[in-house]
Amino acid sequence: MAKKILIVEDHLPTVEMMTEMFKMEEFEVASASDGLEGLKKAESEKPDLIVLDVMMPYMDGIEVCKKLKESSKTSKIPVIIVSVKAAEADINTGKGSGANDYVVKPFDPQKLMEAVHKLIK
Amino acid sequence: MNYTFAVIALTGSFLASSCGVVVLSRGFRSPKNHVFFLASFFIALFNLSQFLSLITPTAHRAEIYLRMGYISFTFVSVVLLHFVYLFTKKNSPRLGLGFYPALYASAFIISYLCVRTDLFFSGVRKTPFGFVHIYGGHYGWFALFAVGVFLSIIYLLIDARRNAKKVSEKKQYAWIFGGFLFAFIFAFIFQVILPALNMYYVTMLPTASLLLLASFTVAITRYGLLIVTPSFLSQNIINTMQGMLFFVDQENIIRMVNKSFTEELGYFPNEVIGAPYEKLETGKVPGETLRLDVEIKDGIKTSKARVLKKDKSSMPVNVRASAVTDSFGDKIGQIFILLNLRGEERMADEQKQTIEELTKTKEHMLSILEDATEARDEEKKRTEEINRLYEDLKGVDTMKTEFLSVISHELRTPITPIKGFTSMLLSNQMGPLTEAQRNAITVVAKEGEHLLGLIDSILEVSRLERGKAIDIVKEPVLISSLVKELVDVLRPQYQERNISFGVDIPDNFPTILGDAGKLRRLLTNLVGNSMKFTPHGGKIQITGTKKEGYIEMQVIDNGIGIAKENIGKLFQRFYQVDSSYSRSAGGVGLGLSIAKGIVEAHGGKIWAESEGPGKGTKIIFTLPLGA
Repeated sequence: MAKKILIVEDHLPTVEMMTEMFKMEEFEVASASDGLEGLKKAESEKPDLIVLDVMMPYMDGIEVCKKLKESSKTSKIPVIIVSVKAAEADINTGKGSGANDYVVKPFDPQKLMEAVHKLIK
Repeated sequence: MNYTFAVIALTGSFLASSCGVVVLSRGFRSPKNHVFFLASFFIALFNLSQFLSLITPTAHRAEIYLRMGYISFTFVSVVLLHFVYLFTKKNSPRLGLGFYPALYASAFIISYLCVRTDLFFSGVRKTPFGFVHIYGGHYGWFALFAVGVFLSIIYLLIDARRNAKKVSEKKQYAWIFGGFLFAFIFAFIFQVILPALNMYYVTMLPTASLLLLASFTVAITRYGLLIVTPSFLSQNIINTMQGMLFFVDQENIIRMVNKSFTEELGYFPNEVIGAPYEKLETGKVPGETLRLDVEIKDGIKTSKARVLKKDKSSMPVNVRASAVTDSFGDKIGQIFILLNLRGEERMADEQKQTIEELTKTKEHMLSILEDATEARDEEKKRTEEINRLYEDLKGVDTMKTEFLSVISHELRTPITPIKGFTSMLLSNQMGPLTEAQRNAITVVAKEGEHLLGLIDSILEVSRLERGKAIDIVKEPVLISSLVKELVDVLRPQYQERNISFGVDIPDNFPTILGDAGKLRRLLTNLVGNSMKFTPHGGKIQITGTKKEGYIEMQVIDNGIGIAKENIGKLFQRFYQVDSSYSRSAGGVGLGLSIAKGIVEAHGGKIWAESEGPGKGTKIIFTLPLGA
C-alpha cells in the first residue's frame, strides 16, 4: 500500500510543489492549510509521515508538533519540520518539540526526499 | 664750753625724727617705711643721747646718756641693715629664716654688754666740748660688729644696684650708697684717723648717721616709686582712662575734669572748672539730659544722654554717675564718667546698612536660585524628552531589524516553490525538456538562487545589527578542499570574464575548526567581490600561509583597487565604492560586511590593503586553528 504524507503548510504554491514532488515518488498526499486543520487531518487521514511548516496562522508548527506527539493517536507518526527559520536556535526548538527532522526552506527537493526516505520507505 | 657739737647733735636728733615722720607719712602701711621710721628713731635717739651727754654737767649722767647712745647705735646699725635688706629685697639674695632673730639677738647681747660691762666702753672724760666716752679694752669687737653690719649693708646695696633695672632704682641706690660711703668716710676720718693723729674730739658718728639718713630720705622721697602712694597712681588712672571724667560739687559746679574730657569735648579745664555743668547740656531733647541726681545709697546710676561739645555739636554718650562722700560719710558731690557712643551709633547705622544690603543680596540670590531651579526643571524635561525619543528610536530600530528578519523569512517562502519546481524540471522528473525549455528554466533557477543569496545577506545583516554573532557550528574543515570546491563552482563565471585564477595553498595546510557553510560563504563573498572589481583579463589569486596558532589567507586581485580614504569603509554594511559601478555589477554592498562577521565569529581578523586606485586589492584574513 502506498504511503501517505500529510503536508501541513499555509503557502499554497509550496504545497503544490511538494505534492508534485511526493506524487512523483508515488506517495499519497493529503494537505492541511493551518495547524488546527493539520491536527484534525493527522487523526482522520492517518498519514505515515507529516511534513510540517512552522510559520502558520492560528497555531504554529512547533505547537502542532508538540500536540501531535502528546496524543497517542498521532504520536507515532514521524514528523519533518520544514521552515524558513534557519537559525540554530530555531532548529533546536523544532527538534525539541518532538520533530524527527528539520529541513530549511528553500530546499533542494533531493534533500527533502532523502529526509523522507530516512523515516519511511 | 663749746656747744658746737651739742647743737649739731640736737639738730641731728630733730632732723632724724623729721625724716622718719616724712617717710612714714608717705606710706603708713609699708613695712619698709616702718623699719625706716624705727631706724630714724634710733638715730634720733643716738643724736639725742650725744647731745645730752655733751651738755650734762655730771660725769655720772653723761655716762648714762652715753651708754644709752651705745644701745641706740647698735640698734641703728641693725635696723639699718634690716631696712636695707627690705629695701633691696627683690634684687638681693634671700636670707635665711634665722637671720632676723640672730641679728636682733646679737644687737640685744651687744647692747647689754655696752651697758653692763666695760668691755667696749669704760667710762667718760671731760673735754672742752663736753663728756666723751673712753674705749674699753675689747672695743675692737664692737667695732668689728659695727663694721660687719655696715659692710653687709654696703654689699647688699652694691648687689642690688647691679641688678636694678629701672633708672629710678639705680638712682635710689646711688643716693643710698653714696650716703653710706660718705657717712663711712666721714666716720672713719673722725673715729679712726684723727684719733690716730691724736686729734680726737667728739664722736662724729651721730653726724655721720644724720648724713646717712638724709641721703636715705632723699632716695626714698625723690625716687621712691617703691613706696607707691595711692594718690600718685590715681592721678595716672584719671588721666589715662578713656572715659570723660568730671567732678561736680553740691552746687552743680564742675570742679575737676580729666584729660579725656578735654580731648573729646574740646573744653580746656579752665573753661569749665567753676562753671555749672548745665554748660554741657545740649538742651535739645528732654530725655537726653546729663542731669543725674545720684544719692549715696544709689551706688552707680547710668543713663544715655547727649553732651554739648566745645564746637557746639552734640555727642551721644553713656553716662555713669556716683556720689562722692567725705571721710564722715556726707555727700560732697558727684563723679560723672561719660563714654562716647558715636562709634556705636555709627556701628548701628553701618549694621543697618549691612543688613539692608544682605537682604537685597539674599533676594537677588533667591531669584537666581529660582531661575536655576526653573532651568534645571526645563533641563529635566528636555532630558526626559530626549530619553523618550531615544526609546522611540530604539523601538524603531528594533522594528527595522525585526522587519528585516520577518521580510527575509517572507521572501524565502516564495523561493521555496521556485527552487523546488525548477529543480524538479531540470532533473527531468517532470518529463523531458527541449533545449530552449531547459535554458529558460536554468535562468529561472539561477535568478532564484541569486534572490535567495540576497535575502540571506539581508538576514545576516539584520542579525549582525541585532548584536547577534553569526552562528557558527564548529567542525574540522579542510580549507584547501573548500577553496578547490569554490574554484570549480565559480569557474564558469571567471572564465566568462577571462580572469585567470590562481590558488597557492600548501599541501599540508592545517585543518581548522570552523563552520564549513559560513566559510564557504566567506570565500564566495571575497572572491565574488574581487571578480566584480577586476576587469576582463585580470588575475585573482588565493593564498594561504600557516602561522603560529592560526592561518592567514589572502584574496589578491589586480583590479580597480581602493583609494586610501576608503579602505576603512570597506567592511561597512551597504558600502559601495561607486554606486553606479556596483549597480551594474550587482549586489547591495553587504558581501564584505558579512565576510567580516564570519571571520570575527571565528575569532579571526580581516582587513584590506591596496596601493591605490588602479593598483589592485588584497583582502587578508586570519582564522585561528581551533578553539
